[in-house]
Amino acid sequence: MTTYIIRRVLQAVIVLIIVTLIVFFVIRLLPGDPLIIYVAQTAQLQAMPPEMIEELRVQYGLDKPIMVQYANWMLDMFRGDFGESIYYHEDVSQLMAERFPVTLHIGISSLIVGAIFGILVGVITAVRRGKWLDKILTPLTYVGITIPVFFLGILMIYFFGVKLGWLPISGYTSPFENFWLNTRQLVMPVICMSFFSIAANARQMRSSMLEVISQDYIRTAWSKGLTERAIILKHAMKNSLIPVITLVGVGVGILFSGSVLIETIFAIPGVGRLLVSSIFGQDYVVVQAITLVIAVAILVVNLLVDISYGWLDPRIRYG
Amino acid sequence: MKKFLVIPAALILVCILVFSGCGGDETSTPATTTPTQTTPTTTEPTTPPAGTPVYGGTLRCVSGAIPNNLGYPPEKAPSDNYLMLPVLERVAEWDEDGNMIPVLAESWETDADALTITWHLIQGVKFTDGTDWNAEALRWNFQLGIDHNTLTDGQYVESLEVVGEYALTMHLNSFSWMMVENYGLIQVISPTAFESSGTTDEARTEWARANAVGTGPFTVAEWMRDDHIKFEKNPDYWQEGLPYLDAIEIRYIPDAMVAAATMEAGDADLWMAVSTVQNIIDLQDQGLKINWGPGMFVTLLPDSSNPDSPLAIKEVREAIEYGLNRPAIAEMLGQGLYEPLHQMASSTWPGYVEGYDPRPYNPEIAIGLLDQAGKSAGLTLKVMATSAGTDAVAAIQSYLGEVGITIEPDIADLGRYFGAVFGTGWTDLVFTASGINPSTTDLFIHYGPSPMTFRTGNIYKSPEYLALCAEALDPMYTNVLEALPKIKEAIRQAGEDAMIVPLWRTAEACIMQTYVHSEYPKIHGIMWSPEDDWMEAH
Amino acid sequence: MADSQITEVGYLENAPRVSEWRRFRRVFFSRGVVVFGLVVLLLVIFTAIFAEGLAPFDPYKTGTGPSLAQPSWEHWLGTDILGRDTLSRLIYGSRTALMVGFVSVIASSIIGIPLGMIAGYSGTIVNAIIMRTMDALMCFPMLLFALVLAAVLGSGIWNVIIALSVATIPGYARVTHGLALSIKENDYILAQQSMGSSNLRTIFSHILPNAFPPLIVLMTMQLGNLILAEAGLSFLGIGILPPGAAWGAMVNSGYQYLKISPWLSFAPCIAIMLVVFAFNMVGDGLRDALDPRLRGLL
Repeated sequence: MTTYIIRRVLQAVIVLIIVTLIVFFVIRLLPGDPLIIYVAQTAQLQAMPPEMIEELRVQYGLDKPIMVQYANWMLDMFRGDFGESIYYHEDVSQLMAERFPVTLHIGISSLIVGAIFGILVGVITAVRRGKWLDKILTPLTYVGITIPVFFLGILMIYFFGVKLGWLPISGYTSPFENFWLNTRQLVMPVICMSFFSIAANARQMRSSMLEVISQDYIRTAWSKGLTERAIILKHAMKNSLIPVITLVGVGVGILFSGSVLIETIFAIPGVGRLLVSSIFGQDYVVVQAITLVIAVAILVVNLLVDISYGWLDPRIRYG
Repeated sequence: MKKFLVIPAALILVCILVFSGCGGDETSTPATTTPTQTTPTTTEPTTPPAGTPVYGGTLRCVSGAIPNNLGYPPEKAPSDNYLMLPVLERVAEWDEDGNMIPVLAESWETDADALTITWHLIQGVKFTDGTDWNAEALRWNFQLGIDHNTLTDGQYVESLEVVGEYALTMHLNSFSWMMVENYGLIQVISPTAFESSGTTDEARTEWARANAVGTGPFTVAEWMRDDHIKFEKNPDYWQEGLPYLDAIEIRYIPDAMVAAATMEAGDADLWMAVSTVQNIIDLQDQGLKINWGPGMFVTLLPDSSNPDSPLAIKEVREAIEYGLNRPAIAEMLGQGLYEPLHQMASSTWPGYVEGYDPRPYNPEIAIGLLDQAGKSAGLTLKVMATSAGTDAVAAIQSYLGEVGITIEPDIADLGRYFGAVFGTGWTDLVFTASGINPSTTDLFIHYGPSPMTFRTGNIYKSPEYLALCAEALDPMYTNVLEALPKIKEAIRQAGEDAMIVPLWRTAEACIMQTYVHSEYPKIHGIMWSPEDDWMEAH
Repeated sequence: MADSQITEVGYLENAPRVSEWRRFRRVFFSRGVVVFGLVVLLLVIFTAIFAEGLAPFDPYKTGTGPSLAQPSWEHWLGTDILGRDTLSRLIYGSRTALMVGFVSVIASSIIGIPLGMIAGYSGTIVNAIIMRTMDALMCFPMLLFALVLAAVLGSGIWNVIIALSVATIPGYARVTHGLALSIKENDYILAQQSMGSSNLRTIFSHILPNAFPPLIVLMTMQLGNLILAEAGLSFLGIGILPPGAAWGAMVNSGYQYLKISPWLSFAPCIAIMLVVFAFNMVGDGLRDALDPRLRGLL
């Protein structure tokens, strides 16, 4: 076990190095000159002479060979210095410190909602297979895995925000500032973001539950006269959960993808929206930093999931 | 077990409601609403305008842009400028007719022979840090712009001389009426607040990006980057009895549909700078108040200065103009709110040449001209645009396809687009939109002899056109009205040369709830007097 | 004698295949939703192939009707802002959707499957290089990766396809790699190898057929995800160039007319949902029919 963990961590370090290479080089291939964009942003009604562009080029180290730039970038990363955004004129670490908590707040809430409701819906539809509840919920799970998330967002805004007026339409307030408002603001983005994972988890849970229910030991449990609740909770659910845990692990990646769309729709100042605007504005310092942090986060989560399998299911062989 | 099912059952119910509810909505709406043809006229508020302004209240605005740099002028983007008007005031600004009117100045004198402009400032104004607004403060602000090469026309300033406590003379090495506009529009910050904010230049700059100390009716109370900014009333504002509002809050909502929903739900009082036509029509139908701005001037710019480009041939440029049914496209895209353009000026602009339409839609002439240019076999041209221009490019593509010009769209992200349009140049055509101001300085800012926005070096400008532009800037004219005849000649010349392809003027509106009284935007992106805004009790 | 023996072996090998195919048909067609998905899919493929004949109007021509016309006998789904016929654009959009889906899946599997195979079959160093690179690619969420790549490459449907293909390569490599490893350990393959069978032969005759069921299921399910991802990219403004018709872009440009012309965004959205649903169901059906053990893995 220990050797396995050590080997797995070593592997992760190698992957990390490849990740940094991908991040740095793919993003530096962006066409267009980031400095011209900077100039365009600031010089709408003001003249900007060419010497100044050169000056800025030196200031941002863009005049050096690209390998040197990569080495410098890596060194800075190790020192925790992510550089300065060309567009915002602000430390990228500062920008990320502002944005990541927001995205994580919504993301983790969605992950939890997705897992809980997904499992619940899966269990219900399996236990009540063919009954009316199953007939309503199962088609809904199909909707969940097929509807484009941004369109769902727009529909929810119109229905809950405008027509019913139940929920605030957009925005994000820190929970420390106004917990109630924050919770109300989070309802729609979280439902929107977790809709896919609820559906995907439910489908997974339903099919593995159906499989487990038909097995001998469950039939034995029934014949022993145990209550339905006891059978489902103690026996059936436990054994159906492992594939779902895999899905939840995959869910982290889906959440970051989702945050890009959700944060744009619900006007949430999270890292997804920052990434989109930085890509379009070719603020590559920010794009590099954010993609790197997200990739590392996913790397770490997968590492943990892999290792934890060992504890969850001793049958898994460490090959 | 029953209890066990209650929560999910509720969830399902909610989901069903979403779908059935929305479905019902869609089937019922179209019956009652049809696309309305609305003309840009000032809409009367549905409630009778109350006579006297009421004090108090927080004006909740939504906007598709938000300041990123609050108070460091050398790095400011346009949205940083006008959205910061509640805090940072100008020395002078335009009125609706394009005349310069004083704000923090009392008056100014120009002397074309001595090459000087002297600004006389109003007295008794203080920055919100308690320091005085005086000639030295103005000098400092001008100098900051000159030092960072960001003061428009800063290259003409020889020296700045404080000639009195409230008088500053600018010594210039050349003079034109445009300079008064360019210098006067400066938004000033408190020199003392800036200088005392840090020990190093870097620290001061960093402070100023996040802080703004001006003379305005409001001060910055709260700012969260890319999310919202809140302004609070300045109790010591220099204009007696103003502002009316207690606070202004601007929330950043990037998606227009979401912003429209926010207005419809009554979660916001005012939506700034709306350019999505359907939202304007929808909200107008619901009885919201609309303030019309002048919109954007939309053009296709050719890379005609490149001798190898097919667009260097005048007939090709003319064929494009003849081949485009601009009134029809403008009608579709604008749903009646766009004005088709036939010349390098819109009819709302003082420089407009009455009745001048050199190339109305005529596909036969277009085909004939292409023939003359030796392009009868067909021609393929690239058009660069941002994703906002996708529909327009599709329409242009469809029309030009009919006369034998194949359009290859190049939809670029903002970074690459601006990089090309402002910096490295483009190939064939670029689809652009530029702001319109009430003066005729637009012409010189966008397409003139030394443009300050587009890199118009790509565009061929005839010697005749450049000569007329130079004449319009002759020092003998002290303001734009005197120079107008020459400006009109320049516009006509540009039309004769088929210098650019004018397309249409878009609609731009500020939408507000009926109880809001605001002049925003007197002129798009340029003017706003937040101290005069007020809200009825609601 | 020798001949008859060969026939006999051949017969023995064939016999279970026939019953396998029967079992496949029985399981695959036993679920209504799967059949429904298949029918939808066939209809969409039919529509895409015969778009020219089916579309009532030129989908690219502006002004075939008034701008934002309501549905009528002439324009069943009304027209968009440029007066283009929505139904015709919807029909042509099926081409874009299927093209994005199929071309990306084929491209990424053509690259990913051999990579996984090579990695699984060769020594530690090659294996490490390939699989660690795949792991690294896996660390980027698909939509983000495609977004960055598409920004690098520029707009246009082919660039979106390239971006989505690159983003989905690691999935195929991983599945193939895992299968190659487990099959390689198989006594029967070891025996073959000891008998001097070449690596290439082993790959083609044994590993590929075994890898086929999970891969085909993965590909089918991936098709749906790709179409959804394309819609997401279109929403963010990266995607098909004018005058091309794509459902994601249609939803995106249509939803601002949600109030007066809801069909502009609903029709393409329902089309997306149907096709994604169809691919998912057919994928489910294939999985159950080909190899029920894959349930929970794919």
